[in-house]
This record gives sequence, C-alpha cells and structure tokens, in this order.
Amino acid sequence: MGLLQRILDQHGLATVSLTQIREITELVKPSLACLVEHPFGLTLGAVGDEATHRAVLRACLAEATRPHPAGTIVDLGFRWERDDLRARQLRKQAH
Amino acid sequence: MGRYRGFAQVEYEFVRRRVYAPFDWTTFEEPSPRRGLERPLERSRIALVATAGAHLPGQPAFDLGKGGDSSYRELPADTDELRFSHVGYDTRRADEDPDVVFPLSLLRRLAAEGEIGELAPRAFSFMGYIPETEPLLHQTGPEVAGKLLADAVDLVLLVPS
Repeated sequence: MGLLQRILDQHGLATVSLTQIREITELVKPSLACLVEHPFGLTLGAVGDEATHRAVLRACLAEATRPHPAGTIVDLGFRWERDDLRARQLRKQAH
Repeated sequence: MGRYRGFAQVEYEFVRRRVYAPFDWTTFEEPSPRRGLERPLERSRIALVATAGAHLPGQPAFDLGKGGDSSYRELPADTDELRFSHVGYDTRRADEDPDVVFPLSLLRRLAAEGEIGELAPRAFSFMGYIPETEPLLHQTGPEVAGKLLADAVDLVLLVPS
C-alpha cells in the first residue's frame, strides 16, 4: 500500500492511507498514513460494524485536512478487542 | 536480531521461507512529498484505491500464485457487484461486508450525506501481495496515477487489507 501511495505522491496527487502495521509503513515512508490496529481483512472494523467503519473513515479523512509534514503516521487509536484474531495473524497463526 | 522490527521481520521471514525466497521489503530513506488537500472535504472529489483484491464479476480474478500480481482493476464508483481474490486474508469477511476493506458503499453514503463532495467516477483495486515491485513501480502504479489525474481527484484514499 505504501509503495503505491508513494507513486501517487510522486505524481502530485493528494493522498492519505490507512495502515495496520506501523513498522512496515515506517520502511516505505508514504506522505501520510493513519494507523488502525485492526486485523487483516477487517481494516475498517468488524463485519456489519458500520459505526466503526464510519469513525475510521471520518478520522482518516480529517487527517488529510491537517498540515502534517511528509512521512507522518497518525495513530487513530482504533484497537481490536473483540478476540485474538489480530494477535494470531501477527504470529502467522491465522489468516 | 532480525533486519526489521516487529511484524515486518515476521512477514519477511515467512514469505522468504514459505512463499517467495527472493522477497525483501522495498524501503526508502526519505518520505514521498505530501500535497495538502486544497479544498474542504465537503467539496472534494475523493477516489478509493485499495489492495483488497476487489474486482467485478466479469473481470478476471487476481493471480494468487507465489509470484504475486501487480495488475489492477477499474471499478465504477456506483457498483455493488464486488468479488474478492487475495492470498493475504480471509476474503469471506469482505464477501459478507465489502466496506471492511473496500469502503466504496460507505464513501457513497458520506457523499450523499454531504460529508464529502463526491466520489471519483472510478475506483482502483490491486491485490496487495506483490513481492516483485518493479512492475508496480514502473507500470501499473504510474498508469493508475495518470487515470486519477485525468479524473481530477482532490484526494486519494488508500485502504490496505
């Protein structure tokens, strides 16, 4: 995701991204990324949880309006507390 | 002590050992330049670009082989006919609720409610497993950038999966 964002940045487009893994985004350094610590495949939140989907999207889009320096990663504060899916994914024990 | 921190090291080791031996992260010392949003969100045209492996029923699915897939699909912004093919996550969740990784429907609702100006006429979809990045960096990525510029988008929202 960060690589693609860098290409769009280089073409002069305004961009903002979500990221689930800070340390990978730090390697790629796109212009502006927003961290949500949700599982892979559930980037905006759980299936059917529209309130969280909206909250993530609104928070991310709001950061695009702020004067962050290039390379900023904003922690939006979303954490996954429903189960251990994300923790198992990070150990490569779940898909 | 690994080369990378946290999950970056876990994924690096996993892909090299189990999927694609030559894999390494493409890294950069400097951030890419940031262009700020030039008008309020409620007057902005926003494009969705995501790596969830979304495609239309009539489009080819993404290649789920070990070499990855750097191609992309164009999807009209008003479509509800989404399919998902991706090696990196369980696509059954996205089949049930596409907004979890491809929030086209949610962006349409935000536009209808006036929170954003409008959706760009097309969204772009990649499949996020791309271990060989040269085709993305030099062909498909620049192609999509050109199409987003042609669509006169004010902001590109990128969503990983």
